[in-house]
Amino acid sequence: MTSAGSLRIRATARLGRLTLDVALDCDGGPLVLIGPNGAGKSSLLSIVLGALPVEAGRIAIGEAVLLDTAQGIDVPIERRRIGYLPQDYALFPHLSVRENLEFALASAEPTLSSVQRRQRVDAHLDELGLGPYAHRSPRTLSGGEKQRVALARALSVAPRALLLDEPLAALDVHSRGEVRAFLAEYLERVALPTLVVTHDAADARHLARRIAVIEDGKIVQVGTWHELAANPQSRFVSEFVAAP
Amino acid sequence: MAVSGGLLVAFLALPLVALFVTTTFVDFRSGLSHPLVWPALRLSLLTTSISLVLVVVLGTPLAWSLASSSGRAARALETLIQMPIVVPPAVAGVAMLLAFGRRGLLAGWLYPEGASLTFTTAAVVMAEVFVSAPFFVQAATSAFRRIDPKLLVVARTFGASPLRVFFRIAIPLAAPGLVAGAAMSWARSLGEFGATLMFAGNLEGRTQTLPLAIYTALEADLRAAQALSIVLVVVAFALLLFVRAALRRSTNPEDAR
Repeated sequence: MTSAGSLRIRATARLGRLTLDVALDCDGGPLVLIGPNGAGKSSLLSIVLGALPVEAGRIAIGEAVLLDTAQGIDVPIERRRIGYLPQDYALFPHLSVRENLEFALASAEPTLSSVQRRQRVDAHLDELGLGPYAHRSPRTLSGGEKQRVALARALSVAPRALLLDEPLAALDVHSRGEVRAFLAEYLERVALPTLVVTHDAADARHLARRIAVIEDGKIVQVGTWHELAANPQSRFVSEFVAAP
Repeated sequence: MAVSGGLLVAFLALPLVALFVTTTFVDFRSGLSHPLVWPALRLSLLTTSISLVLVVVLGTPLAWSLASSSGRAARALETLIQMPIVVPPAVAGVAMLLAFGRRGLLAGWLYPEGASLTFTTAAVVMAEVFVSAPFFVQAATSAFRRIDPKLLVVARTFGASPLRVFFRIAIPLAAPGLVAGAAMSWARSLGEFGATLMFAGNLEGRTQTLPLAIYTALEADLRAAQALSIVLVVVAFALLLFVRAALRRSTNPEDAR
């Protein structure tokens, strides 16, 4: 998988009473976003995705400019090529696992023949050990299995970046540790610019190379877990790193 | 409490029971052989099929845009579209005459030759669309609203155009609600009487649908009126069961997820 270059975000947006004003850079590997409820974490993902409008800003991945209000550029969602995993993974419930991937690939590359598409989908399913699940309905999968399908589906269209919103929140306690370890290893391996929103300290610690803290729409601190723990810049950060 | 409830149930059920117990199979058969019956049945099937296709084809994109917009204008439009549900059918008939009739608002544009749509089969279809479309649009709009918006956003992240998302994701997910809405809409146009009578008239073979044939037969041959009524009740009951089953599917959380 080729590295797409770093994700650079400058954005100002008014979201009800909250004003989001963010400058953030993310190179290969996961950058975890933490912050209190309503601080703007998920909204920031929506802005990068192109699902929420901004007042001013510039978003680029490597050479590709996705948004530049000064130049009147605003690439629509379907041409941003960003992989997005919402909290419940949003698998299409009326399609099988295989059809979920085929829908994605046929959308991204309509010129592929059905044989080529089938081979590519098989390869992506096998890579995540999902071959045996190909004909299952997403309704019958466990949380961890759903997440792997969602990852395979997102990666099958060769995205420039990945956005994960609370990727482990939908899992029960038993599977959570195992899925977290898998996810950390997998995100390192795909080496895409990745933003991960979480409210869980253990998730942040295991998934992140770096952690960015958003409070009230602003970035208040960016650093590794150890940097945050050694020198917390706010009460939220000191409580977050103190959690077991 | 139980007594008053029972009273209402009896009141609602008795006319339907009467429809069946006051006839014999022989009377039913001979009622169905009345010359009014088959032209009316044919015309009803023809016009309600056409109006159903029109309602679904034009109503589905409309419902989709209503469901995707949250502005004040969209709310106002939604209320406006529901108006035919509360307007009395006779008023709808007068209103349609004033809009599309020989001397109506659009007369100069519709009928430069002096011809007229009124008292034609096309007028029957128009009356049916007018009274039945709101039922479908309402059901379809709420079916589209029940779709998790994340599914639609995620579909677009793969590069799917809004049109592809509409046909491949939104329509299949809303299908049970769309089918239930179409069935309700069909039932309404099958039973349409007042607007049809006023705007299209009661011409055998051209504008005399089943309800109008029942009305006409009532004066000549009660058995024919009763036989036709029984046919309509059975069809309506089957539709009701079908709609309930479809709606149960679309609101069942196990299936919706």
